[in-house]
Amino acid sequence: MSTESQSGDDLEERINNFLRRNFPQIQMHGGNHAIQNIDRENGTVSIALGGACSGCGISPMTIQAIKSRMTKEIPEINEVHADTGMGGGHDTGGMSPSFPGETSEDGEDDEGPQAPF
Amino acid sequence: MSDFTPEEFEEEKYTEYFSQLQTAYKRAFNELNGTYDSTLIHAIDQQILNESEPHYEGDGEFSIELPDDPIDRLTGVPVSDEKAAETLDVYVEELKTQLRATFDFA
Repeated sequence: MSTESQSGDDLEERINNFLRRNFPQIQMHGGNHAIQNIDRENGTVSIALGGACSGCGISPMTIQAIKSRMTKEIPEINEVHADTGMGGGHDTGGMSPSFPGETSEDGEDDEGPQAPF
Repeated sequence: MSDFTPEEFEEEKYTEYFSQLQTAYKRAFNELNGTYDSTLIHAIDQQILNESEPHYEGDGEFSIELPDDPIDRLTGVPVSDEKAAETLDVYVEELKTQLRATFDFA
């Protein structure tokens, strides 16, 4: 049986904190995340990114970064499943990606609040 | 021009270079979304590139590692495999171009 996310679960809290701390862009740009399942025995966690994260050119990169960094920074986690839940790919199209600060060709580094890397 | 070795890039891409990677991916997406079938571009983005990984090869060149059988991952897109493969190739080339530009190698 998997240990579903329970309130007061320390690991769940640490995962949430990790995401908020390292990936503030998710929330800052209209996205959100939800922990769908935590399996302590196998050290796996499933995370769904939603809101503006679906259909945004940046979510693949964010997903890979979450997978890579979470397994390094939270020792109990060996494997991360993360997706935007947009498996079908048959959305209306034309949705405007609205992730981090690159409005158009405004050059390089976006300033403003950024992840504390 | 950015100054890192392939090893350094590999080690730090999701920390030090994360925002540049996001910028490059976002720009590639925007570039193609305006030119190609938006549904297909979204599907490639969400169903193939979510398992992709950029690597720095040195000399200002990047590569994009794709999951196995990438076209088989696409669902819900009414295009032929040939068209999808062709568009994926263009997408990957655009990503490499944007990575070079974002890291000042262009």
